[in-house]
Amino acid sequence: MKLFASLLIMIGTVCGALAAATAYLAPLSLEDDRLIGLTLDAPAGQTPSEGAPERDPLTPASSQALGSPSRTPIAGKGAELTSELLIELRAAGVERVRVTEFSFGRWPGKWAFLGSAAALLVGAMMLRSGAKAAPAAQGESPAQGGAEALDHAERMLDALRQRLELPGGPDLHAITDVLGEVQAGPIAAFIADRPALIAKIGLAGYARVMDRFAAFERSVNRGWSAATDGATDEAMACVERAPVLLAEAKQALAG
Amino acid sequence: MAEPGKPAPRYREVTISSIMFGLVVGAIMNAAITYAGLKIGFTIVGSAIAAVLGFGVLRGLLRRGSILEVNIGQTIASAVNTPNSGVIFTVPVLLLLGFTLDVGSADFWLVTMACVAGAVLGGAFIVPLRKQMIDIERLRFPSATAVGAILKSPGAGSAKAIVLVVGILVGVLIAMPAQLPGISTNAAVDDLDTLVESGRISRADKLLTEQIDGWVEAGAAPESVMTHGRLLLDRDAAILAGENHDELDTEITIAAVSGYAEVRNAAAAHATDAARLKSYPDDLARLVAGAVTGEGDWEALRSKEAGWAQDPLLGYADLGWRMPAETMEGEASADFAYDGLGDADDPVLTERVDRDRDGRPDLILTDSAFNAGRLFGLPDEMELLFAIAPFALGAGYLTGRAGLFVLAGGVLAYVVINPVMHNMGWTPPTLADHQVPGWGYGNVNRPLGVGLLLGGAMMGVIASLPAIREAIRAIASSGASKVGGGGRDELGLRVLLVAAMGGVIALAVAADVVGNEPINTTCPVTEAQVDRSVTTSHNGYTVAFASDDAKQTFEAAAPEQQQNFAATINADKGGWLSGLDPHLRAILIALVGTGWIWFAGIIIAQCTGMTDWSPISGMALLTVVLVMLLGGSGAVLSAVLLGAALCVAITCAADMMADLKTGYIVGAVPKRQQVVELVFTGIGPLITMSVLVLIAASNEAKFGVPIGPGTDTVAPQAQALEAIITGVQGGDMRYAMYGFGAAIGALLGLGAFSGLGVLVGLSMYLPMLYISTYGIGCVVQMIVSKVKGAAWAESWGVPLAAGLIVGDALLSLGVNLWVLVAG
Repeated sequence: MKLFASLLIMIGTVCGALAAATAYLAPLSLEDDRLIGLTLDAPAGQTPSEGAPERDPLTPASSQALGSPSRTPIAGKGAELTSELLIELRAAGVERVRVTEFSFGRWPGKWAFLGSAAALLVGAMMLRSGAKAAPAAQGESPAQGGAEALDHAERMLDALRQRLELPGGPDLHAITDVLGEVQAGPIAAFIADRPALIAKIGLAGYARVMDRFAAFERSVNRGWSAATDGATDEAMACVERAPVLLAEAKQALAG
Repeated sequence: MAEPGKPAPRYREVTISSIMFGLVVGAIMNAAITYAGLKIGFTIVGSAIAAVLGFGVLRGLLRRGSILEVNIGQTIASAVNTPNSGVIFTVPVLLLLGFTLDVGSADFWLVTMACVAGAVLGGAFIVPLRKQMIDIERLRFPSATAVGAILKSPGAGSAKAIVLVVGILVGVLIAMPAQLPGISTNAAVDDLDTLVESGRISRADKLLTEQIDGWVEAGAAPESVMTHGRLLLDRDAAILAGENHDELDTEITIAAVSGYAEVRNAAAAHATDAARLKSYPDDLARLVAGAVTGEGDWEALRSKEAGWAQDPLLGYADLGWRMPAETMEGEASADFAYDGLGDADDPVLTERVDRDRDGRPDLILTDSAFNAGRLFGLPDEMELLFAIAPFALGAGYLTGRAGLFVLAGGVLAYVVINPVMHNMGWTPPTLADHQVPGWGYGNVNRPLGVGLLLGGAMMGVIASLPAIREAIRAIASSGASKVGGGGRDELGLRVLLVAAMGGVIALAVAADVVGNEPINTTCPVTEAQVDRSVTTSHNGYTVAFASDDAKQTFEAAAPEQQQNFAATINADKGGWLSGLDPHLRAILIALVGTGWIWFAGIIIAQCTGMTDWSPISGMALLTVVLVMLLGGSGAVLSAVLLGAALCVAITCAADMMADLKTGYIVGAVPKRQQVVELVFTGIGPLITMSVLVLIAASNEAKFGVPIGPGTDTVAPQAQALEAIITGVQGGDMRYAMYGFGAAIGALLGLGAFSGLGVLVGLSMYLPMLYISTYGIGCVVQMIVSKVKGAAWAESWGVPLAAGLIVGDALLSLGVNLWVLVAG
């Protein structure tokens, strides 16, 4: 279902964007009274000299291409559509022109756009319901990995604190190393579990957990910086504070 | 640990050193980048530069800076520097449109006040979203992550520090051949042929340079050029004296034609090349006139301003990697190169390989981009370009998998929408295939992209409401967390509310005063300079006249005639709020503008957080349109005032969030960063505005105009905004396209990933060449994660990617400073 929903969203986006690109096109098949008075937003039609190759080497290819048909328009940007101009454009086989005014009734891509919007809506709803149904289908706590990551971090911090209590004074290298490992290991793992956590406890619940978790992570980061700078007291304070904040995060996760 | 009996030394964070460093570096960068931005359109946020300088000054010279102290230094430096991009994008428009700004004028102080208010509002509005964007959404903020990697480098181990340095060196090496050609010197006459062969200059450049050389050697120039120059100098003097120069203008036009004809005829031996010489610079004529009268020196003609060919430093284009030659079979010979028509020896290249008709296949690899689409033979209406930009590569790597949505949006715009539109006949018939990407970008992709951004951001805010509510609740009840030992770790809502209220009041006062000033500088009746004390109200505007007589003529005229007069100053159509009391209208516009600043700040912070790019020009465009819809298309001063406030606000909001992300990475206390940022950010607009009026005054004295074409500071970004304003006044806005884009963006954000609309919109808004390079970075990150594991990719890839970003930024700053200093 996820694949189908994604496909629907992709098709809806492409078709919707293409349909939107036609918003300022006016089909010349419409009656004159719906077209007369509109202003051209781009040159329309080509002059009868069509097919004559451009031979002027001094004219850059951007306006005229060597060997290509002449690109002189019948009417330029800013011209107002009149009945005479419409006759001339239709005679030249022009099917549509680009105008500056928008009208929903005149918009050739309106049904395609509405269909695309419906496809996007259906696809989005399918993805949402799929995301809600996924945890139930797994049959186990989806955020288990996140909880394990927090336990892991707790064990690492406990071990660090025990090591720091040993005689010989605080070992700043040990703080840097262990906090670095906490950053790269359990913290990264907990963050990677975000989708499962949101599915389990909702966005508001996840926000509550992350409020505390972020405070814990900042404390770890600060401790790492302080240890690197040789600020022993600050580093030690952070090492003491981090487990407290971690406990708060765990409590928020437990609900 | 502290010795017994001695207080523990405080961990250095907000210190006098860090504040002074931030202020000095920020002020210098602000002034330098303001000038650079006005001259060459180059601006830089500068956090990475400030971080590197911070290490050099605080840790290297003063030998006392901690990681967090350097972080505060770079926070203040970027807070003082950042507002310049918002100011120089908008305020110079007023000068371009004929308004005057000097330190003695009330308008200067009102615009400055609005910009300061914008800076404070941007910060105050975005702070409550820190938790949501950084703690909860965990947006990446690639450049902020890069700055974090720099700050952490002393403790990250020597191997990672080496990786960072290697990243910087690689970034510099990749960017060098792309950026060094920006530095050039006067070409030697003997080297002109070589430069033509390498494609660095055209044959027309060579011809003009050879002629100038002949004049310098002979100490004489064609009479017509001298006459042209003398008339130009006379006009410059007339402008300075405030005299009428209409007659001189006519004479100058005639003199320019005969001067050009004489220069072209002198090169008649090379008919094709001479015809390609379409004009010569006005400065050449001025310098000739100066040299003839003895006021100047003939040698001064050997300069870029005079049209002397320039010899750039070596770049990628010098590798000469061109399209494979493809000649037109069966066509009569026609030499589109240099040495005359109809040379049968020279086969004619097809347009596909030689779009500029210089007789050689086009370059696949230019100094700044690699055109894979043309190399692989993709249809011309498709575009597959890769910018040679290490910063985009690094940002892509740091964004990772999520960045693929940006790549997908780029593919949608440039590989699907544009070619389909062209082949379905929805593009103008006069458009050549290779012009389709450019046309599609301006007319469809960009408006749709801005709309997608709006809709996507709105849906993102709605989808994140539970998280935002929790985040704000946490801030409101903060006090529990003691991280950093500094009490509450966030600025309280009350403080933010006071700051925001102050900002709103300042903005409302500025909008009220400015909104009730005359909207015109020339009289709608006589077209003379107005007397600002002679005014009347028309369509809700205050309209000034040159004299009481002119005012009476206007008031006595029939309504239709009044509208004709008013149309000359864009006062013929009122805005949605034109019927209201002028003061109430101004306050309402300020309030709507404030609400828009809040929303635009969120969009910019999200975009910067997800990709490192911020659509400032798109938001400025919408601000100007919004104010002109409310106040009327004649309300340019109000529109620019609020546009300036918004641009400053959103750049400051994005900078605040990026700095807070860096702070998060190194463990800074958010509140301390927020305080220093809010306290010092107001200095930025003041510096930028002062530099701007100094430059304007200097230009007035030197060139007779304050800014823009004809001066050293062409203000390219402000010219773009001027085009938007005149476009809005001329009814040239595709509102429906924005609306449909917003609908698609909102629906995209309704799915599992609320930021999808923003990402796709941003990619449609940006030029393809940066998106594709950014996409390579994303793909590399995914491959490295797959092969070596996510931890390895993070641990070793981040310093390398950070190095690429920093290397590119450092080189860019260096090259642009060189260009500024060397002229």
